Amino acid sequence: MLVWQRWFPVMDKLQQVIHNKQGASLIEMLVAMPLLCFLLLTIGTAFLLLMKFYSVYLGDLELQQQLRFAVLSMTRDIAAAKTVEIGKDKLEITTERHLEQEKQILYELNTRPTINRLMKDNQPLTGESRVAAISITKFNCKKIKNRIINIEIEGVNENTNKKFSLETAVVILGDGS
Amino acid sequence: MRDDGFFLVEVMVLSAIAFAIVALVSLYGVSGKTIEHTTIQITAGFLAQKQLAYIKGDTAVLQKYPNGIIPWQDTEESVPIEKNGVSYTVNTTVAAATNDDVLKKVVVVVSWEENRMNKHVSMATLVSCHG
Repeated sequence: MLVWQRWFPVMDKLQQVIHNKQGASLIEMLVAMPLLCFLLLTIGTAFLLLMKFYSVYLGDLELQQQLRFAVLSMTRDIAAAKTVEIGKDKLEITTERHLEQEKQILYELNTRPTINRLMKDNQPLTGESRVAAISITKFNCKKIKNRIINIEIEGVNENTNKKFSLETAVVILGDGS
Repeated sequence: MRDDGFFLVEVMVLSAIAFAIVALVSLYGVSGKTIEHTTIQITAGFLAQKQLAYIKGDTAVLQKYPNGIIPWQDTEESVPIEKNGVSYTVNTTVAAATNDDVLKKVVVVVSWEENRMNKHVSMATLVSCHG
């Protein structure tokens, strides 16, 4: 036996366990197995719970990001608009560049049986996510006074039913007629 | 019958496992609160932006209130504003910018109560009285 092992009784006992050739008795096994199962179940459940939390948080974060991105995209386009036309679940923006090309930027709420997407020029602005099913439940735009457009958008994470709404206003810096 | 009890190593391993589980659970609790806080801050930021847009779009509001305090969206809408389950209070003040009578400094402060603490987001901009 090494000198340091004499100073540590724990290591001495560990040596005894390692070199124990008697094995465990049935009683010891009957006690040890449920304890082991309990420990494994606890760790497994905790792991699954944490994964669920992670997935929920990731989905809610995605909802925030998509709505914020959509609102920022609209505010940027409206600020540079020459004309803005507001319809039901629809927003048509014409900037100077688009006026020359006789085109418009079209924001539209696309209602589908599965999830509602906000589309920009027929391309999905929201709802394209692998981590959560983000559906837009409300998309309202209205003109306040002459040059101010109020935007209200609400979305829901279909997996968790968490709702999030954003409301802002933007000034049309162009003509805004 | 054994009288030895547990080894120190066994106790340490079990403690480490328990500590790791508790730490992970608390970490997720913290991240949940952080997401909630972010939601509130984003909403507050957009509300402040809305108020600023209202003033920028109609600069006559700057002259309308000589005390320099502009109500939310210039309406009698009841404050605080309820959004995403949180009530926000918006305070808007207007002051003359230094050495300039035309430019006004508009400060919008959106405040709310979170975990029994008062928090706020503020946005400031310069607005010309002539639009």
